[in-house]
Amino acid sequence: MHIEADAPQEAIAKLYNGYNIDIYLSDELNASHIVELVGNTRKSTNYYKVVIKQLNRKSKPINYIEPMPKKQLQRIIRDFKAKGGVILINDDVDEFLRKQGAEGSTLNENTILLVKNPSRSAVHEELIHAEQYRKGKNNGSRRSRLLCEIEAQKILIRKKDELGITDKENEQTKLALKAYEEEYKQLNKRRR
Amino acid sequence: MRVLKIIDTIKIGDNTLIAVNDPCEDIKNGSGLLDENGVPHVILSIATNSNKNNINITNILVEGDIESKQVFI
Repeated sequence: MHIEADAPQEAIAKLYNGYNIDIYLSDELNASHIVELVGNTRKSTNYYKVVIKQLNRKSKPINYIEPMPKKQLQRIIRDFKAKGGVILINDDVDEFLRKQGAEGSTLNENTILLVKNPSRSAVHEELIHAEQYRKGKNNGSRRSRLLCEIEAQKILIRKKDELGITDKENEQTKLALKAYEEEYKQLNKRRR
Repeated sequence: MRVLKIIDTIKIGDNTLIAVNDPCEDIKNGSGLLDENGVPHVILSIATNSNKNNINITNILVEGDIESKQVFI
């Protein structure tokens, strides 16, 4: 018998159902674990022994960012292609970007590179950059690249809910915005 | 003229995307660079990256093939 639950308490509540239960925790529990009722270990009437264990479910790393759902990504790739563009996602691109710690890179108005399983904010950011190229906002200079980055981060923050961007991603975007704005300030100082 | 060490490359169609660890303040789309053999290449575009960790890595799309460990700009 397996019971899926979002928390130990919920699983216990589902199992309890009026019986007395001994609970044995076999591992440290996180949310979304699976609860297993071990065999027919009824000790006496209305008494069950239950083991709660985490089954092959590793806890997610602290910096884990939820990827964009595959269907949504496929739709975006299709729409971008229909406009004459291409979004490249393959092993070579994935390795190239991940080595840099990047999720995406926009080469021009028609070419976007993305890692496999990119986050929502990475996909939308690259689409914004492609649009910036199309509008002639980016001539490749450091100044225009920084201005485009700043604008892109601001759009992502403003449209957070509309684009389904998580709080964690949003925090990263805010940090990136700060870094780009600071770099832009420094660039202007160097040019004076 | 400055020398930039290439940290990675990837072929994009007939062209090459090179990654350098430099903010590249002195180039823009249409500029040129030389590979280590002195062969000139046109910079087709300079990419924007969603790299929140290192904003000084620059990806440069260069016309043609580049078999070089460094470039001169």
